[in-house]
Amino acid sequence: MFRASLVKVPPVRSGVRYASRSSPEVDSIIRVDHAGELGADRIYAGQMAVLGRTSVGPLIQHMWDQEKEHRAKFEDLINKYRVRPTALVPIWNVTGFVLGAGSALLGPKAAMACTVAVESVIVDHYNDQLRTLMSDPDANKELLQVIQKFRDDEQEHHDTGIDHGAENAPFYKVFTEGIKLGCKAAIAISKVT
Amino acid sequence: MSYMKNEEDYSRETHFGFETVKESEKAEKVHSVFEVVASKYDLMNDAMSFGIHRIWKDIFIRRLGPTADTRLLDVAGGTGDIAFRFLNYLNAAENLNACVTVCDINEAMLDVGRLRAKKLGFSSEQISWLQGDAEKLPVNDASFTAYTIAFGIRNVTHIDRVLEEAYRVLKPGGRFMCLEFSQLNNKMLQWMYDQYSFQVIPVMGQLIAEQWKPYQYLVESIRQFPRQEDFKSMIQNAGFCQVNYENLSFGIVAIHSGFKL
Amino acid sequence: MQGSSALPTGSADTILTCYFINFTNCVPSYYYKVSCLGYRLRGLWINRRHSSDTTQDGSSSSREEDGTKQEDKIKNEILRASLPFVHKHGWTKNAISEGAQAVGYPGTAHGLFPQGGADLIQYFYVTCNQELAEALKNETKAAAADPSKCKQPAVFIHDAVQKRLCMIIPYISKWPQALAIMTLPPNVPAALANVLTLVDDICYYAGDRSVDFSWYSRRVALAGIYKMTELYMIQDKSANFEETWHFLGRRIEDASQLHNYLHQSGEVSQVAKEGVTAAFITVC
Repeated sequence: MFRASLVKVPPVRSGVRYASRSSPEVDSIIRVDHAGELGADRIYAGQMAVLGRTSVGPLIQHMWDQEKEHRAKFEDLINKYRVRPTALVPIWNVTGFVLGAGSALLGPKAAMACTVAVESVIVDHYNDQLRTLMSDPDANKELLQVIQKFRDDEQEHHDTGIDHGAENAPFYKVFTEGIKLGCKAAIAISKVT
Repeated sequence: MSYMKNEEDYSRETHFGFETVKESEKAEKVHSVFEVVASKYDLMNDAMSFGIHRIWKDIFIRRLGPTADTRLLDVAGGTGDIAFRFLNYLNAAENLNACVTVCDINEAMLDVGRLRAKKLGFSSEQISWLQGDAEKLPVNDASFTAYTIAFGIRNVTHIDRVLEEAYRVLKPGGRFMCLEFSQLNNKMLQWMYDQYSFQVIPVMGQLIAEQWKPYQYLVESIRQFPRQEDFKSMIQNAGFCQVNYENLSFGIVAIHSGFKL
Repeated sequence: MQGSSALPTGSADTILTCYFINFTNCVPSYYYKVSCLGYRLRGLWINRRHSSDTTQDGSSSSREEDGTKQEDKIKNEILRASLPFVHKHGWTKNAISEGAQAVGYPGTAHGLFPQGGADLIQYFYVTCNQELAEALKNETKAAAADPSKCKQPAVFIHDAVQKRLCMIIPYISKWPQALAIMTLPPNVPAALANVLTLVDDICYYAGDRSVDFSWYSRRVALAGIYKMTELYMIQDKSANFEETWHFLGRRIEDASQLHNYLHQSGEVSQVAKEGVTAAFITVC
């Protein structure tokens, strides 16, 4: 009773710092982005598996190639910044592929709608990260450049999806809102795990 | 007896319990409160806190963790509770270079302390008694390695001056520790504490020590003292580092600690 | 699976090996446990990062930062000076008091470290980890310049773990006390974060650049090897801890065999994957 609600004393650190590690924010940012690009890569793989031989095949292939580049770049950054990668790689692999293949099975327009949903969440997400990183532009120069370029690429994918009739997909609104919700959940999980 | 005879004190006002008084009058009023309660001070402490104040003070000294080379200045330590605990803690230590100076503005409180020291068998080499004002200590710079003030700081007129003096008299690496009544976080418990404080304590004071007003002042002054976080900021402003606090008994008392680095 | 090597004789060895093999054979169940671990892992990795956050305002926060740096410098000085007193007092606040007095501060400066002995152990652990990381970095650089100095990963890891454990040798008599203190619940996150930082450094400099789940499985396996060897070491009475280094060698060999087994069976899972995707490929 006498000691109840004690320890308002915050833990006193010994003051030794790991200088070689990136800050927790950068660690989280790179991990989430890598998970995102991995997911996107698998989504396009799923779409290609179903629609590879159709007329939208080359278009999806072009977008998939760009996502592969993005993923490779983030894998470099993980090693460069000594970031802990996401632990749920097997889950993102399966989920991404199933989402891509599943949406493609509903038709090319549904596949485009899926692309539009995912890319719009990713663009917003990248914009949030850019805002966070802008608090110290000199220290985060490389990361800012990379994320800016990738954000522009993703915006282009989004616009491509719209141009190819995404909005004409059946149950477009419900479908895209559902996918957006799933993407946001995945982003929240990857920040931590 | 030295008060701060500052021009500003004559015009500025401060609180004395729930009353508002001139700063120049506060010290005198506090002095007369303690003059009157000195003889029954320890008995009343036991009665009001049901003996728990002993445990608070034990924990306080344990947190300080004095070592054989500690030179302690215990301010507002009149009847010697902290000083005796300090010496008992070090009883078994080898190479006892430790000594404690008890400083109080009130001679009556120091007299009670001297008597108790004699009864408990402490020698004058280990414990010395000094009459002085916490806002202007009759002590050289950097002459102590630990400074404690237990249930005294809410009675001073200028808390910031006391903190500055504490900083002055400590050696580099020295520790400032303050044990004081503080605010509870829980509204329900605060209400119960208020009822006990305002309805029971002055009555106890009247029955045991035949004084009502001093104990009214006691419970009012507790309410006027800054919250834990605010007091922590004040200590930091005086120059102390690594300032932290620990609540005891749900926040009824708090131990604040800072270092001069 | 390559023929399982005869289990080593000796009861402690056998028990520890069985534990290790059971532990790593449970890899698939980690898929389930990962989500539970996720929150704790985050806590561990964030715990180990003491880097200062980027600040936005100008002078007042930079003044505060300077002040904090100065305080940290003093605290490190005291802890560094306390290590020689560990033999006499153990990992306790008495050692910190003596250390503080040795550098001219009063004995009550142990109050700067409310966790007492745990703060001292944490400091020691972190400085050893940093020393090791520096040494491994230099070794990798030297190997890049001069290929003859390049080591096999298993040898590299063996040497790195050995080097790290040798740093404990001066305090080996009091190390069981340190381990006990670090397994107390309030200290567990810090202790785990230290081990995981250590194995991350060793794996990275050994050449591991994986970015998928094997990042985790390799580090957890190495952490297991490190901890087992550490426990073996504190009761090893042989000259120059020869038995400990042999024990370490056997554990690393076990891990390599297990890795080969999983790698081989990886071909099986590749075929399974192709079988599943084949169902989705339209043939027209």
